[in-house]
Amino acid sequence: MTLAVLFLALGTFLIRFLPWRKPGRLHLGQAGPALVVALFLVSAFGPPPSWA
Amino acid sequence: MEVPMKAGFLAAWPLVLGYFPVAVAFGLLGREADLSPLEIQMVSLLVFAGASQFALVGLVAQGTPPLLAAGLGLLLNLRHAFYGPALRPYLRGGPLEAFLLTDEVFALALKTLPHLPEEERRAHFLGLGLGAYLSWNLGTLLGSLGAEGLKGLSQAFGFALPALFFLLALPHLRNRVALLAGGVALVLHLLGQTALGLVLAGALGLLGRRP
Repeated sequence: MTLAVLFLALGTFLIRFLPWRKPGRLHLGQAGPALVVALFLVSAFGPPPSWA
Repeated sequence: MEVPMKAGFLAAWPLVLGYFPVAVAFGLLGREADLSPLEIQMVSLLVFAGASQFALVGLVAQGTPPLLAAGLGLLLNLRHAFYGPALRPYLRGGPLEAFLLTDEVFALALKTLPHLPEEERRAHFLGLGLGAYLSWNLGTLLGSLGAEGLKGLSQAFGFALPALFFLLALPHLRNRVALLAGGVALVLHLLGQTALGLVLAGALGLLGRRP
């Protein structure tokens, strides 16, 4: 179990950190507003994504 | 505590209201899965990502090999890959900022950071994240110690996070790309594919032009 927790913790950290750290050529367009609206609709019609 | 960090910490109160009862439920789930309070707390201390924590503990309790359960948890967290780049115009991400970047911290930061002076943004973000992290871990602790009496909190404060997301989404409800992406996420959520829907919403958002 300990190894699994460490694996999940490290993987989650890298998923959050690497795309933020490295400025790429990716243009994000409306990704921010799209995600905020999606989070609202998803949480309004069921458990919030924190525990979905 | 610096003033901007304190302001961020205080601004985290809607997250605290929403996180705490869910974290209690997570602690209780860990007990039902026969994990020790220390093991349960380590998950919240090290991972700090609600959906994948519930997936890990829930799947292990059903007999799934822990590493496979962790892999599935990681798939749930793929949506987080969009959050940092969306915040990059306002804040450069360091290791600590990335560790604290949950769905709710992202949404609140995207709303508040653009209106703050550049030199205050990092401390404000860290204050927000710290408030969320402390409430998540305190709730986990109480749940893992068997605070059954707090179980009702999940229902009592179940409105907190949807209400917060509603306020944050309000300025974007005329944005057609955001509405389309949100609609796709909602349909997939109703089909039981929440994480996939959120990843697709982020991908659809990429196609829209910045106003």
